[in-house]
Formats: sequence, structure tokens, C-alpha cells
Amino acid sequence: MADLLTDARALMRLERDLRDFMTCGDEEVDAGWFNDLALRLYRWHLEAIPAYAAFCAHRGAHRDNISDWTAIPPLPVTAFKQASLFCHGHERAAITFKTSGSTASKAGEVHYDRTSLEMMDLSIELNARRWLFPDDRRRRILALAPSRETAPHMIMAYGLHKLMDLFGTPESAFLVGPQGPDVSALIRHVEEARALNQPVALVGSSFGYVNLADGFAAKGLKIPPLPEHSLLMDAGGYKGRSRELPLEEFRALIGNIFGLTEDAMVNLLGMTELSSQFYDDTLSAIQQGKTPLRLKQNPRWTRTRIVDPDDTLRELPLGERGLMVHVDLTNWAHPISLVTDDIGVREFGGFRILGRAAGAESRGCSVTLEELAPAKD
Amino acid sequence: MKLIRTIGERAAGPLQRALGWAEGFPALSEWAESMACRAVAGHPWTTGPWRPAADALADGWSREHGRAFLLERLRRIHANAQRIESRYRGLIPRCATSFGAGFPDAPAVVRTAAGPGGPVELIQAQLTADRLEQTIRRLRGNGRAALEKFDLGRLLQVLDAASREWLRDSGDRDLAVEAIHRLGGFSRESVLWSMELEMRSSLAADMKRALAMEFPSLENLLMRGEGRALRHGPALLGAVFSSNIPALPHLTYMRGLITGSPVLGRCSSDEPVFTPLYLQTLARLEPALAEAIACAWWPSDDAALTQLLVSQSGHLVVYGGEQTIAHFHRLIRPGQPATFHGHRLGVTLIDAAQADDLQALGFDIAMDHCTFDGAACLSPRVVFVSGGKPQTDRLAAAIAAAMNTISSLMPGPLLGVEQRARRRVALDEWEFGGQDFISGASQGWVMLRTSGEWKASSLPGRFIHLHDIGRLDQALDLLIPIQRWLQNAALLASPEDAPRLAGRLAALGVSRIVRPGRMATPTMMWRHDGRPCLGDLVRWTDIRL
Repeated sequence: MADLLTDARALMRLERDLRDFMTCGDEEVDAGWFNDLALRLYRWHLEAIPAYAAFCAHRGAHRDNISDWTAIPPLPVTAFKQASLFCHGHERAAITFKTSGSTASKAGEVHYDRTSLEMMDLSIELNARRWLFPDDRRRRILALAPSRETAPHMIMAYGLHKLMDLFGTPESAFLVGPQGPDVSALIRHVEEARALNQPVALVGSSFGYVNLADGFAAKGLKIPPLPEHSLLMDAGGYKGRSRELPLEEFRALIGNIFGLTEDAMVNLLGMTELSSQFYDDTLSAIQQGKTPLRLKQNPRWTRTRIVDPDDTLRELPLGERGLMVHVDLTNWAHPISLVTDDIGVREFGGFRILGRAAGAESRGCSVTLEELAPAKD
Repeated sequence: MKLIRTIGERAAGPLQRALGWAEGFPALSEWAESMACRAVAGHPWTTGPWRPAADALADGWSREHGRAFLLERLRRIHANAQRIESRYRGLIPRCATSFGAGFPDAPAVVRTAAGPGGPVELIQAQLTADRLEQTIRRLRGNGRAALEKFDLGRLLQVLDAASREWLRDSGDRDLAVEAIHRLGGFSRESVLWSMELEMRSSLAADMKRALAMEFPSLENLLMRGEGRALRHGPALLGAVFSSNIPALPHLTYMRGLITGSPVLGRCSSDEPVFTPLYLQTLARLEPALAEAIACAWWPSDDAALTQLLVSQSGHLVVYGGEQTIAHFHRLIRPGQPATFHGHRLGVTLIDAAQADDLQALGFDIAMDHCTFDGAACLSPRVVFVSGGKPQTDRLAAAIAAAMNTISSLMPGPLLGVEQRARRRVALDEWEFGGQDFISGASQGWVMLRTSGEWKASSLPGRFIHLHDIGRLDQALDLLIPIQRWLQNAALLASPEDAPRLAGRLAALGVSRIVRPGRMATPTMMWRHDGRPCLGDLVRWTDIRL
């Protein structure tokens, strides 16, 4: 194989093949095609990202001794906090997203060049068309999240802008500013949408919804039920920024406030380090008249493996809990195989997130130094 | 003076040889160890001309025979654990979660608890505030009256006999080991080792030494008020237990009974099985004691029962984390006597240049980390090492070898998937960042080595953090921000440095300073959290008639 760093044509071919793969429309694509693309990306990343190459070499993985995508060493997502993992120099970065919400003090940086952004845009569009807006109906998208202007390094803000551009009506708006959520604007938007019988798509972070609900309860506020065909998407978990609710309770609480059933709610798993997102199948299944499994779905250019924490190359059988390894071919300019600290399980028809890796527990009178570290300040 | 010293030194050699010979015989070995402990504790038999011999004996026992002795103990414990495992294979152990006069009449439910090691059926008395109040009345009335009639010597005999029973194989001990293993995730070996340490330091001699140390005139106590002072323990000693150390609650019962107080304990949700079994032993050995001891488990959110325990306790002892301690601080009434054993941790400071046997030192440090799986307030959380990189490298290798040996005989805790995931994420992060670490993950332990800027680290399971430092005084500076949590320190330093470093550790609030290998084995004389454990329970009345 040609050296992708020095052979621009080979890189262009890879880009074209990846686009073809994503847009081919055939759900039952050849597994060999995915494998071929994954290995070509892996080899390019080895050439272009010294820190990643060193990590793989330490694992005994080189350019030519990996023949299956499952053997690509998964990089810990925390590596983005420690080193640059971009295929190019920083000057080629069109945009830099920062990780947030983790317990580590330092935020990680994920750089995107122009091609990376195009890949991510394509992924967002194809994914949302299938799992978020399967009825192809335009909606007033109300984002309970900050805009790109307010949070230029937040990947969620970028993604929501894309959704508004592609699927939103002109009235779509971001309803979180520097002062927090604008509740009166939200109520006004909902009343307007009801008057126009215009369906609404509420999109935002899980903790944002919970804080909103708590705020409503505290102030005795009520919001009119959303118009027909409205839906709600939540993402991002809680990250300690609100009280945490089990999924069923969350749906009941939020559904009650906005007058939505759980069949109009979808959850999304997205990460700054991944260019693609994972929706659950609720809205798509309902659209097709099926019973939703409420499991996360892999777009065809991604794979998710549930692995043994003691051996991240060993995939666990269905139903067994383990660490989650995601392989995302749209991670064009940064490593495609990443291991997260999420605990998940694979079931028939998708996967489910169950929680996060737990630290060394305090038990009784015993305490760890790490737990005391914040107390130093 | 020189002659006396020479006699002592001459005696040391034969005694050490005798100890070596005794190693194969458990009873003799235990005697030898207790002699060595007495020597360290400054027992009257080991003072005067025999003091040098006693010191040499203690040192010699520990250095030359300690490792072999411990490994032999661990081998036997391992075999015992296998026996217990096979005894309970395919069975679900069933345990009571309460003991006490009045509780047997309470309706009970059987609940299956699924711990990391498997299921356990728990028989839970359905307590109501009325029923608990009745039991408390009985403890304060009949129980206190029963204790008044007890001769202290007889009480110590019973407590000693109970400890000795728990040092021997028995059906109750097997049951406790299996249940604690399943509920808490400790290996059976770790539970057995913990029980051995706790019970071996709870014999009559230890209690007498603790009494002699804490009460200036033991005779006064023994004469029970016929002397110049009367002592009063609380009318009821209430206790809230935790689960991080198997077989610890017995100490609270011993202390309460010795000071003439009935004791009521709330068992930990994670380990409600040992205490009822231990109390059964006491009641069987001395039925009159049954009126003075009780324990039960109830949900931590049952505010009525918890408030009852707190309000009726003349003195409350609480083991637990910051949240638990804060909760009970809010519950006690102003001025109510209480002892809180909250979050604490240990540290180890080593001048590697002072180690004449690095293998032995590595073993000692490993043992400090393996006992209680490093999850006690006594356990070391970081090992600061000075003495240069080559020496530290050799020490790290010795610790790693010892961790493998010990873990093969006494496996680490069972970790859930969340904890194994946390360990994996950390190891991957360290690997990516080029950190120096050794993962004996298949043996259940990890050692991280760092130098330069010190950053606190922790991992689920057995974890050793070795931090190279220029001078041990620098390590003490690093500990200043966390000094309020310091409990225990192991120190190996030159004879010139040791007194100064010990003084600085004491000034930081460390309540116990020992040499490496002894961190997990305090005696009853240790002032837990720096407080007199018996003395704090007692109020004195001076009589000047």
C-alpha cells in the first residue's frame, strides 16, 4: 500500500471510498468493505500521528500486522487530554472542540480539518434523517443548549446548528445563553408553534432538561403541551450538573412537562472524540409501526464492541456488561478506535449504556488520596 | 551495665534459633510471636537485663522468621479457604442479621442479597421502634445489672475465650467467612487473615495491657469502686459499624463490656453477618452476657430506628465515611459523648539506603498493602521513597515479587465490571502517557511509580503508589494539605533522622508510627484516631471520704 502521507491521490481515493460507503444506501453492506476502510484509516493515522503510533507500537500493533478492524488497539479517550492526536499540524484545524464534563481537570482537544468536518456533517445528516426525523417533517427546533456563538468549542452546539440548518424551520432557536436557559422564550416559542400547529423538536442535554423541570416545579410554571408530531431528544447524560434520574423517571418527568409520550422521545450518545452519534431506535421504529427496542443503533460506518475491561480486544457475549469500544470511520483526522469509560451491554438489536467506570470506593473509615485531592483547594 | 547487656545479647542467639526450630509448630510459633510482641510492647518480662534479648528477639523474629512465618500462615489460610469454598459450593449460606434479647420474637423475613462473590440469604428481623425500644430498655436494665455482677477477670476470660474460638475452625467461622466473601468481595483468604489479626490482638493479655495503659490504676478498676475511685461506663454504648474490615465490630463490644456498658450496634448494610455470630459466641460462653449485647441491621434511611439508637446511647461510636459521620453529627444531642471514626489513611516513608534487606522490606510493604486489601484507615495509600533510583528500582522489584507471592496465596478483592473498567481506563491512560507502572492485573494488583511532582492516584483493588523523593522531609511537606486525614505511618529512616521525622509525623496528627510490615497490626493499646479507646468511654468519680 502506498504511503498515504506522501501519496495525496491515495488519500483522495480513501476519502471518496469512505463517502461512497456512507452513502451507498445499502444497509447490508459487505463487512469486508468496512474492514478495508478501517485498516486504511488506521495505517494513515499511524503515519500521521506519532503519539498514536507509539501507543500502538507499545501494544505490538504495527502497520502490517493488523488485518482485522477488531485488532486495532483502542485508544483511551483521555489520551486527547494528554497529546495532540490530529493528523495534521494545528494550522490545518478548521475548528477545535474541547471535551468537558469529565472529572479530569484538563480539557481534551479534538481538532477537525475541512475534510473531517465534511465527514462529520455527512454523518450528522444521514444519522438524523434515519433516527431523529424519520418522517422527513420539518420542525421548529428549540435547543436547550448554547449556540456556537456562546460555546464555540462545544461539539454539541455545532451538531445542533447542523440539525437546524438541515431539518429546522426558520423559527428554530437556541434558548440557552450566558445567563442560562431562557424559560420565557421557550414558553413563547411553544405558544407560537401551537398557534401555527407547527411541530417542535426539543433538543438538549439531559441535565438541562432536569434543571428546567426542577426550575418549573420550584416556580410553579407550566408549559402548554407541544403540538402534534413534536419530539424530544436528550443527550450527554448528567455529568454532575443536575440530579441524576433513572431513564424511566426522566421520561416520565419530562414527558409530563411537555405533554409527550415516551414514543416521542429519543436519546443520543455523542462524544467530542467521535464524529458520529448513536441514537436509540424509538422514533424510527414508531415511524415504521414497530415496537421500539430503545437500544442504541450503530450507523453503518461505525461499530461498537462491548469488551472485557481486563482485555479490551476480547469482545463479550450478548448480555454481558463491559467497557465500550467505538470504531468510527468518520474520525477522519483522528484515531478511529476509542475506548471510553462507559459501561454498556449488547443486546439483540443494539446496545445500551448502563453507567460509567467507578473509582476506588471509599469504604467505612478508609478513603483514597485521590478523593481527598480536591479538598486541598 | 555492660555485663547485663552482654547477658541479653548472648540470650538472643539461642532464642532466635529456638524460634526457627519452632516455626513448623503452630502453637510454638504463636507463642514465639506473642513473646516478640510483648518485647516490642515493653512487657515487664522483657525489661531489665532481658531487654536487649527481647529487642533482638522481636527484630530477629520479624526479620528472619517473620516472612517465613507469614507465608506459612497464608498457605494454611489458603488451604482453609479452599475447604470453605468446597463446603459451600452450590449452597447459599443463610445468616441472621440481628442478635439480642427480644429480637428472636420479632417477625423475620429472608432476603437474598447478591454480592460480588455470590448470593447470601439474610434473615432480617422486622424491627419497629417499639421493639427496639424494648430491647434498649432491657439492655440498660437487665444488661447493666448483669454486668455489675461480673468480675472483670471473669469478663476478660470470656472475651479471651471468644477470640480464641474465632481463631479456630468452626461452623460459625466458616459461615461468616463465606458470607463476608460473597457480600463484600473480599477473598475468603483475606477474610480469614483479617479475622486472625483482629482476634489475635484481642486476647486477655492484650486487654490487660490496654487497661493498664489507659487506666492509671488497674487495681481500682478491678476492685470495682472499693478503692479510691469509681468508674462509670455509659448506660448504653451505641455503635454504627462499617464493612471495610472484616471482624472489626467485636472490638466495640469488648470495650463496652470492659467498661461495664451494654452494647447495641447497627450492622453495616454491606456486612451484617459477623456481629450476630460473634455475639452468639459470647452468649454461648457466658449466657449472662446475652442480656448486655445486641445488634441488628435496619435500612439506613429508617430515621426512627436510627434516632432511637442515637438518643438512647450514653456514648455513640460511629465508623464510616464523611457523609455518615456528618449525618450522625447532626443526630447527636449537644454534649452527647460520641466517638467518630471517619475517613483516615496511612502513608509509608522509606529511606531505601537504610534497608539492609530489600527483599524483606519489599515483603513488608507488600503485606501492608495486601492486608484488608488496602481498604482500612490504617492502610498505606502512598509510599514515599528516598535513597536514589537504583535502590528504589530494586525495592520496586522486591515489592512486585512479594505482591505476586502474597496474592497467589491471598487473592485480592473481587472487582465489579465498573471497577475493572476504571482500572483499565487508568492503565490505558498511564500507558499512553508513558507512566512507569507494573500491572499484576491477573494477580489483582497494580504498582504505579512516579517521581517529580506528586499527584494523588488511586485504583480499585490492591494498588501501590511508589513515589521517588529526594528527602523524606519533602514528603512530609506534601502531606500537610491532607494532614487531617492521616492515621498511620510506616517509617524506615536512619537513627539520626527517625526521631525528627516521627516528631513531624506526630505533629501532622499521625496517631501511630510503626516500621513497614506492621501497619495493619495494631494492638488493643493503640489509641485509635489518637484517642484513648477505653478511657473515652469512662467517667470517673473520685471518692475522698
